Amino acid sequence: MQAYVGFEIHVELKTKSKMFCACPVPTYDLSLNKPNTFICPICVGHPGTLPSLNKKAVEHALKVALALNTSIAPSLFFSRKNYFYPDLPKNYQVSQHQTLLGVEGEVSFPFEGKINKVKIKDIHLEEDTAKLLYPEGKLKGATAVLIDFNRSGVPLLELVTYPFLATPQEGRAFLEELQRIIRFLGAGTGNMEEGALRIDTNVSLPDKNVQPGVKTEIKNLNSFKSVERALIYEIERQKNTLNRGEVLSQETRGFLEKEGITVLQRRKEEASDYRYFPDPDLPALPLEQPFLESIKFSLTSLPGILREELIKQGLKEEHAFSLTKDPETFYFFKDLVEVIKEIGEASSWILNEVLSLFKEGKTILELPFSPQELGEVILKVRQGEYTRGQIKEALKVSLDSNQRLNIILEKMPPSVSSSVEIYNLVVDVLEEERSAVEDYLVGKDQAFNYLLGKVIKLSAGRADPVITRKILEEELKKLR
Amino acid sequence: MKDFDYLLKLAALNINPEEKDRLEKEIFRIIEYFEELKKLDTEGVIPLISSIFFISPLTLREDEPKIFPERESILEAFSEREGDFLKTPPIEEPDAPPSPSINISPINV
Amino acid sequence: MFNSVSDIVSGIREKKFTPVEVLDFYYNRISRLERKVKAFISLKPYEELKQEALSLDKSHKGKLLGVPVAVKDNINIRGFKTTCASRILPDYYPPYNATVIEHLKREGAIFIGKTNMDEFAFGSSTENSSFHTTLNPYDLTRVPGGSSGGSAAAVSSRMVALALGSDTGGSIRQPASFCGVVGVKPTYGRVSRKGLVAFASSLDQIGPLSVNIEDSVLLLEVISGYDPGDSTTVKNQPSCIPSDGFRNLIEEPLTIGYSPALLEGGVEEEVVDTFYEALELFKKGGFKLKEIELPYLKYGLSVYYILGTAEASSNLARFDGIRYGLKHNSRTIKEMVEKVRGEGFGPEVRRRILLGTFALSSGFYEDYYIKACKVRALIQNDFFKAFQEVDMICLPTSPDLPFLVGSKSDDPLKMYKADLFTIPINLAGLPALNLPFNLKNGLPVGVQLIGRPFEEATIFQGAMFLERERGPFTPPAIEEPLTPHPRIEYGADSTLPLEEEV
Ligand SMILES: [Mg+2]
Ligand SMILES: [Zn+2]
Repeated sequence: MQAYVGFEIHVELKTKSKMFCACPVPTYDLSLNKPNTFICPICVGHPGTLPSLNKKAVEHALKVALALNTSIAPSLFFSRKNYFYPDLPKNYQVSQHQTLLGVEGEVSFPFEGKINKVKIKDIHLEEDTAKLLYPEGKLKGATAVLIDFNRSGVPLLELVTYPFLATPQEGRAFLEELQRIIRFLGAGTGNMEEGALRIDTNVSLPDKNVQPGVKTEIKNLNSFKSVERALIYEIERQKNTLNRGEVLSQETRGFLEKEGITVLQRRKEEASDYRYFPDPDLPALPLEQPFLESIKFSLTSLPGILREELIKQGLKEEHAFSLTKDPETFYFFKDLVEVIKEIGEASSWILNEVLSLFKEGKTILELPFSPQELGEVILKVRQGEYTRGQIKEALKVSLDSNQRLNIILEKMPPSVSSSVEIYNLVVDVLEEERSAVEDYLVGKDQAFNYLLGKVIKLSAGRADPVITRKILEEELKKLR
Repeated sequence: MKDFDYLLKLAALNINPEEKDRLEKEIFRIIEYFEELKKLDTEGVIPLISSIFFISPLTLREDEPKIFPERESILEAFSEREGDFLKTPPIEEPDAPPSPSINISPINV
Repeated sequence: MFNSVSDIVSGIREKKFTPVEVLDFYYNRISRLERKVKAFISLKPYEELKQEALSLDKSHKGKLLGVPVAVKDNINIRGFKTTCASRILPDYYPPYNATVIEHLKREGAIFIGKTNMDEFAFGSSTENSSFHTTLNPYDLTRVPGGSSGGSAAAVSSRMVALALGSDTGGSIRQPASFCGVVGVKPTYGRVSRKGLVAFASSLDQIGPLSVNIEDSVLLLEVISGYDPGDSTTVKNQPSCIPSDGFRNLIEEPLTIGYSPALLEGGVEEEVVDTFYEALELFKKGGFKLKEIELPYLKYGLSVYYILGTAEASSNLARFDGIRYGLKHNSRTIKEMVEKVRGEGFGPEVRRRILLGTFALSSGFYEDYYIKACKVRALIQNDFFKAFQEVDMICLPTSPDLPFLVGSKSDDPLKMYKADLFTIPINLAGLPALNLPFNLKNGLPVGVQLIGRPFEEATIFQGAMFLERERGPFTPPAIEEPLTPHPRIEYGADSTLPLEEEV
């Protein structure tokens, strides 16, 4: 089920202060709980105020623009977009129009074992609006509007793609990679549920000439899942409409989360007259090569590049993918490799023992131990001081009790690696598990693992599995 | 020529009818005066947006947050308050009949 | 009467008199003259001013120690009402100071009050003020010019020693010319616009008004400089102080450019005469004169009224009655905003907002806004070419003598032409000043000197020469009642209740 899919994406850039004033950018929770607290005359549009542009916002925007391979404008240049709306304190938005930061870029993203590409039309900087709330919960039927300027003036990056022929799943895969890119660059949190990544999408079925047909725009998408569901629904709806012999109209539709359907919001009216003109308060900023070069330096950390490197170093593609799903996991992994000097082993520990501990929503940053600590412990396993099984247990306890790994391990008896001790355990098991021994001797190989498990269990997980296996093999050989 | 009502809408100005006629005439008389520029040959001239725009480049501000100390006086100036929120009349009349261009009932596929 | 600001400052420093005595001198004049001139929109209560003056006694430093200054009512002083002479801002108390105000405070100046102006600085006579029209101290039946008419009249009538104005197309120089005072429009980018309620951001500059050049040099020096709060201010500015007066003029005579073609048609005879008298003085003093051509200047008016209104239409969009300003009860926000703006803005403001909206609207942007930007470039180029041959340019400041109240207010185009000689300077971003040169039929006529970008020092040098050679300039003789009126003490809350009393 393919259709032409295009995205208009707004990314909140991760800065300490707002785009044109020094007001702190509050966290999502703080912003919700303390309305109109992080405000000043500039972001409330008082008379006589002027903008001064945040350097960090420009750097973040350029990082993303370069990462998406857009051609960068010779100079940064702002325009005013003029329209009256209560969320716009100056009744114009400082944005870019005449000259855009970056145009004609491309993003590669992995999908079903292949690398696909999406063309980027443009990428530009603009200021966020204030937040409007309605006492009744929604605009329709509201008796008043409540305005909160905390968000007003937060730097935003707007990114527009060309429509591309894709399935809803593929569209989603692109967005997920884009989110990873933003996160790996440190340009934004990319958290959709907090509005730090906002996605509008447009869909059109291919016409007779395999060109995009009449398109509809879908708004209010607050998760990747919603984007996918909305696309599935909308493609189906457009097909059915055409099949009934009706015509589609260019319109904006909203996605209803609960029902899983899109509904008409408004038909395309005459184009809005935004009266864009260059903002006379902000002179041009030439984007010179040395400045751009210094920003390019940070691009080595793109998830796609990191994945390729891991594969080159011998990791399986799916493992490389899992390790680069977010920067926190990747840098935890990288630090672990630093300590244990074995990429395969580090990958196996993280993917099998660490990530499996988390329930949905938790991040690796919440672990009560550092990659260095984990590394030290893994080295001890190598030396036979502990078994992997013991550590697995310790990791779980550490996370549940929020205690440091070292403290938990101190309470644990060390592993049993003495051959005599293990020999005694093996003899006991062989004595008790007669029928399993019989099975093994008549050629049922799986009985070996059963016996091995019994020995480890008898040791309360402390027996070194390698040594145990060796002794068990030898003892069984004797019985042949 | 542009429709005068369209300009009033863009500029968000409510003007009484008598004044509207007079103003409309004045505006278009002045716009007519501007026509003198049309005859000038400006082929290849780079538009000058501001006299210093390309001479004195923009200086960027370091990303250092600072709390504005007089928040309360900003809130005091609000036309109406509800707690710390600025309160305004609604965007649409709450009991307005559904406008023809807005249809919120789900469409069956 | 003090001859100059430096007399006040050095007198206080040498303890010849106190800041309170200086304040009393000026406040007394305000008490006697303000009812006639109506230069102010609001005055600080006397007791408050006295406290400020008293607190200055001890410190005794600062270049403007104890100097009473009037501020145009589109420049924000923290906690002191800004109205822009508009009904749309009945009670706006700025929560911050304009950068120029910070500079003045640091130097020990005392802010007496906020001066009248054309609403949002749109006009050339103060007749567009929503409160009242200021009158010309030289002839109370005539306008003081505008839009900084209140500031010019306050200085002219010596109700204050110094004043700040703002100049977008001549709004400091033209009223300075009408009121017989010095007024300076600095190079665009010299003075911070932070805290100046924007009219046209690419043209606006704050500048000084004073009775002599020396005082304006001092005030300009204090308010100049790069401001991180205004991205259009320029770093590492050359000083505006003329280095060595005019001693070197004989060895290295400065060249003055002038353009007789610009004086043809529409310029009053007295203005033309005054202009040539000034040129004659320059010539006698050893300056070289050179005829120049500025062929695109005559298009300045159209360019200015397209660009100035386009920027204004956007700058004034924020006045919607939501976050501050005039309130209106309505059923929807759209209705509220349109009513607030329709009723809050006066006719000239509405006119310019609509003109600017038109110039930016789709289908007209290229032919109007962009075309005007191109002609603006040609006008700037005219000046730059001329400045390859001359050190400064001399022009009349205004084509008119101060006109009678009401004589032009019915025809916007006629009023716009009052800024014919001043507009092109803002379009090109150059520094220029008005020097009061003589009185014709008892009315002041000034000349305008225009310099290269950031060469205020040069035009100050030329102006100081003219000022010396011209001799003392007769101040207005406003008939003063024998017994002073009781002090007018309008709090920051009140606008002057003067309209009925005339
Ligand atoms: Mg946008
Ligand atoms: Zn702010």
